[in-house]
Order: sequence, then C-alpha cells, then structure tokens
Amino acid sequence: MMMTTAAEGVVVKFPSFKITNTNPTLTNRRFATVRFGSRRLSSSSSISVVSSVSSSIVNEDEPKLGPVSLGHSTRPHFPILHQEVNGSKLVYLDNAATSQKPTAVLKALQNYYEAYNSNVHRGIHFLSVKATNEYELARKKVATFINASESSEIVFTRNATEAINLVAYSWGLSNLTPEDEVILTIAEHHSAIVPWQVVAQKTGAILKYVSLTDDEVPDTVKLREMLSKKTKIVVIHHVSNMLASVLPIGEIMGWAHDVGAKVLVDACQSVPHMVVDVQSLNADFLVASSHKVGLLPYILGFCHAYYELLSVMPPFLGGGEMISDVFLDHSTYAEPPSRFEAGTPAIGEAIGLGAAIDYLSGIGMQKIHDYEVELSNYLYESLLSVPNIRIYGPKPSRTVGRAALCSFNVEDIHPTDIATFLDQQHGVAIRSGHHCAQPLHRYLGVNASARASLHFYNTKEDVDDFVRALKDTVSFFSSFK
Amino acid sequence: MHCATLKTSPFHGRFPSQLTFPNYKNWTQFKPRNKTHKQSSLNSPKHVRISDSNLHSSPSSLVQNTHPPNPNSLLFCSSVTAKKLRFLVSEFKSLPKPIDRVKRLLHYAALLPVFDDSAQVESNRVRGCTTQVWLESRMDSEGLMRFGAYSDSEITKGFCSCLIWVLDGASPEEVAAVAADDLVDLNVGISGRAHSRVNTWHNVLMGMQKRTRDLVEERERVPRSENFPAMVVAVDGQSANTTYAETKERLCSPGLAH
Ligand SMILES: Cc1ncc(COP(=O)(O)O)c(C=O)c1O
Repeated sequence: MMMTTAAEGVVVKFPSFKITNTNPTLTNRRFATVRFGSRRLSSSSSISVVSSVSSSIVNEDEPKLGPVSLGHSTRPHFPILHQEVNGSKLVYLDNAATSQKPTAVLKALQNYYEAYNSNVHRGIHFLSVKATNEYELARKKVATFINASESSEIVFTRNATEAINLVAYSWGLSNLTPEDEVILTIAEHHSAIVPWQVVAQKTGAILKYVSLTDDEVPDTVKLREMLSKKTKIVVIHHVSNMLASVLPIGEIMGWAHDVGAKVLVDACQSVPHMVVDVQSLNADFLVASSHKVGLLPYILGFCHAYYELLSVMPPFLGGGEMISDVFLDHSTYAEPPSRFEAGTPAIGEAIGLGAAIDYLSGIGMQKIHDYEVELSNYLYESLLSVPNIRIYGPKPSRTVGRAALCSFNVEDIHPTDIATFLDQQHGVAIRSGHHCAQPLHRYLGVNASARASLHFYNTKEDVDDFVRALKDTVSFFSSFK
Repeated sequence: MHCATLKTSPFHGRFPSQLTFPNYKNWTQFKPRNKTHKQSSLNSPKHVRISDSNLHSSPSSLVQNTHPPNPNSLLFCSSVTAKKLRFLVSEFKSLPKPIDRVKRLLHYAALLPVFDDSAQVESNRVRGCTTQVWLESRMDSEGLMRFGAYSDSEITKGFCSCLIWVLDGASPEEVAAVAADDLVDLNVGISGRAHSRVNTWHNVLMGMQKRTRDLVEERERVPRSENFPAMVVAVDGQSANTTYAETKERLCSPGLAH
C-alpha cells in the first residue's frame, strides 16, 4: 500500500487499541485539568465562541435560561418537538446528528412543491425560471450567512461528506504527490478522514494526525510543529462533534498559510451554532451540512472556496449542468460553481436552506450562540451531578469554550443501554456509539460514548428532564448489578 | 409449507424461568429428527426460505406491531425452534411497557452462558451494532448449530441470550428459516423490522445465518464445480434457474446483512 500514516504521538502512547470485553473503560482522570489562559485556545482566535464564553459557569437564576429564554420562545416554531415518545414528552437532544426544522422551512418546502417545482437552469418556462431564481437566491443567502464575498464561491453538494470528497478528489488528486503531507487531527469525523485516506493511497501522500492535550483538545502546539514545507493541506474541524472543543481556526490558518499549505475546515458543528465568517477565518475550503446547519432536510451540504481556487480545480463528478460543451471525445467544463454540481441538484432543499437562513438570521447567530453557551455550561455542570460520569473534552472556563454538547460515559453501563433506556422509559433522544469518530474513541480508551447535543430551541427544562432521566437510568442499571 | 423437522432434545435446561415453556414436556413427543435432514442442508429445496422481501421491510414504530403475517414465517411451523420463537414473541408481546421488556432482557442477559475470552476475536465480531458483539458458531457432530455470544452491553446480551435460546441446537435449515420479521414483536428500542445499522436483533440474526451458511458449505465442500443448479428455493418461488454459486453469492452478500 502506498499510503503511509504517521500518527505522531498518537499510537504509541495509548495501547488501548485492542478490543476489550468490558464496558467502556473509564479512566480515573475523570475531568481534565483546566489550563487558564491556555495559549491553545487563546482569545486571539477569530472565533467568537472563545471570547464570549460566559463568565459564570452556571447560575441557576441566569435570566438567559429562564422562562422567556430563546429556547422557550422558539420551541413553538418546531412542531416535531411537541409530541410524546413512549408515553413521555419528547426531549430531543440529538441535534449534533441532525437538527429539527421550523415551520418556516417546512412551509417554504411545501410552497416550492405546490407552486413552482421545476428543474433549474434548464427550462425557459415560468416555473423553471422561478425555481432557478429561488435556487440561486438560496446560494446568495448562504454566501451572506457565512460572509462569502461572492455567491459563486458556494458549491452545493449532497452533504458535508460529499463536499469533503469534492475537495479530496478534485483538489487533492491533482495537487498531492508522493511524500506530500496532509495533516489532520485524531478527532476528525470519519467523513473528513476516509476521503483523504483514499486520496493518499492514490497519490502516495502521507497522512499525519495531531493528538490531544491533557485537556482533551486537539493539540495545536503539536499541529504547528508538524507543519512544514511538505504540508500541502490541513484538514481540521472547527468544533468537535464529540469533544465539544473549539479550534482556533484563525491562528491555524496563519501557520498553515505560512508554509504554503491549504486548509479545509469542517464547520459542520459550528455553522449551525455561531457566527462563522469565511473571510475573517480565511479558510481555503469550508464545508458544512445543511441538515445540521440550516435546520433543513438532508441531501444538501455546501463547500465554500475562493473563486480563484475553484476555477483551477477539475470537476469531481461528470454529467449535466457541469459542462460547457460536450463532444464525443471530450467536454469543456462550466465555470464554478456549476462545474461541481453535476446533475439535477436538490432544489427544494436549497430553497428550504434559504428559508432556514432567513429564520436563523431573524434571531441572530450571536444571540443563538450566547444562549447556547449558557445552556451548554448548564448541561455540563448538571451532568457532573450524575454518579460515576466521565465527560469528554475540555472543562469549560472563562477561556475555554465548549460547544453545546456533552459526550460521556457512566461507569459500567454501556452508552447504548443508557440511550435505549432513556428513549424507552423517558422519551429522551440522545446518541450512542462512536459518533463517526472511532480514532478519537480509541485514543480515549473507549469503544463508544453517549452524547447529548443541544440546539437553541432546547431549554433548561430539557436539560433538567434529561439529567433526571439519566440519574434514573443509572440507578436502574445499578440495581441490576 | 414444509417445515424443518424436530429434534429430540430441544431444551437446554439452563434457560430462564420465564422462558420455561409450559408445555415443555410435550416437546419430547415430537418426532425424532429425521436422519436425512442432517445431510440435506442448503440444497434441501423447501427448507431455506430467505428472500430479500424478508429482509428489506420498512421500519415499523414501537407500537405493537400489526404487520400482516408472513405465511412462510417460521412462526407457523411446528418445529421446536418455531415453538420457542413463538413463545418468545408472545412473551415479549405480553409486556406492553417498555421498561418491562428491558427488564426481561436484562434478566436474560444475566443467564447468557459464559463466553470464552479466547473467542472474543475479531473474526467473531458481529458488525454494524452500536455495541460490541461477538458470536461463536459451530456445527456439532449431529450437524446442529451451536452458538455462543457476548456483548459489552447488557441489553444486547439479552438479545443474544434470547436468540441463542431459540437457535442453539437448531438445524441449519431452521436457523436459515428465521426471518427478521419474525422478531418484530421482540422489539426493545428498535423494532425488529427496522432495517437499521443499529438493529442488534437483526445484525446478530444475520450473523448467525451467515455463519451457518458458511459452516454448511464447509461441511459440504467436496471437489465439485459450483456450477450445478441451485437447490435453494426462495419464498418468491424462484426456481433453480441460477447456479449454486450465484445463489450463494446472493444469499451471503453483505447487502443482505445490513
Ligand atoms: C464534524 C462533522 N463532520 C462531518 C459530518 C458529516 O456530515 P454529513 O453526514 O451530513 O455529510 C458530521 C455529521 O455528523 C460532523 O458532525
């Protein structure tokens, strides 16, 4: 095999790769020590989360979480939340997997299918023109939402996974050569790892993985040390879908660009929850998935890249829409973004995404973020009261922000058993498993974890219900021991 | 429909009180296992009844299931395995509260026979579950299937315990004859019908069936061409117009084991 994988400081240190027959190992190191003023997540980051972390970690009387909170005022907009599951009120805490959709989005979709469903860029009739206009308007809305300078810099894809594959195949295959290095972290989602493994196999490039600090955040000092002239691209998440940590993308970008490397930012877990400004981040590629981002149905993601970069990239998939002229033996390709959107796109979804962006912008991403920071801290602190719990990722502090999710294990109870009981007995929806982050789980010495993830329509009561249910779950299983 | 014949000693006494079938004594009255059966196996036309339609069904809700009975279901057979399966289904059906079903599973989990550490190897892993599951399968000297399993999750152990109770000691034909649909009413958490990568019932059952097919094939591996006509008849009545190799490929392909 041509691919070489160098996982510096990763593999050797943790001999926990073997399969164990016990429940997920819970290390005694229950909570990472907090490093105040850590350089790694310093406030020089351009990411708002770091600077806006609440100073009071938890204040039960925090007005932001009270009865007129953002969660309380937006819940009515999400019809799906108002139902019973297994005889209990649904508490939906699996937002990192996918978010729920507000009525405004559902209406936009319905309106599209009722009033102007038609293929885009192809017909000259009324419906097609209307659909094309709305589809392109959605692209503009996405561009504005992430502050891209041109809507032509937004490529619609099926999901974030396809967006990453687009970069790996189009940019990666034509730019990577043997011995070139791709730097990733061990905390990447599988969809950010596997495409680069494939491309590395084809090109002979080397994958290098950055491990975690003792605080359980990707080690940006190591990342910086790993960078060299050989580095061609850095593939990193913005917010970790398991650790809830937030990387200082602005700083990393500077270091990477200094050695001439490109940066691909997986913003799946940040775009839905905070202001993401692609111009200030200056990422070469930024990808996200609209079902998380835009409170939208599946089948849509997007990739942002500067136009100059897109314009020199070869197509990823061939077909209709992406061509300029087709001859029997060759074709010429359309300009971006069409070049990368072969075939009929997910038109309704794009239009729904546009409506979702209107909805989110109506609230304000900063407001959403501030509320989620409060709720996230409340979740973290509340979970600490659960016996024998181990929460992964950094401890929140004045300087260390956590995204609104907690992955955890409870000693001697399998996370899937926890999730099953929470669902069956309490109507609480959380995720269990490896969350498409197996290397990270191995690193942490576990096979699986449970994860509760919030969105702005969740409330303090949701957190209370969940923690109460979790305690009941723990005592239920403990009584069976 | 023709069902697999019965074997004489269906019950391994180690099983849970709740599963003690009231008419258990009657089981010994069943006809002794037909000798010829042992040699038949996958090339015994009417016994194997796996078809795509059994495996690709739509997810059903947690509401007690009301799906139309599949006339080919093992549930309608009179074999011991079928009786056990029926018993298990009616037992779980009689527990409308999810918590009681979970409790019952945990009870069975505790009764799962000890699984040898040495069998916890990669080749015994059942793929696709959110928990780790190991399944050991062998064929005993009488040609009956023997299963052992272990999981790091208690609920999954309970699932395995139930499946093992039904299928340990069954003939390969009986193992093959259990359809994912037959397990619908055993649902705890995820319905037996849900064609989901996290459906443990489904994955463990598929694992048992795949390994059974492999073992049957191994037993039968004689130096002859795989191009003889397939003797496997599916529910859809598809006749043997494909070769054995093709049919095997179809039945054993990972697509079926999703
Ligand atoms: C951090 C991260 N990256 C990538 C993805 C992949 O998104 P999708 O499945 O929509 O392609 C996810 C989704 O779980 C994610 O959380």
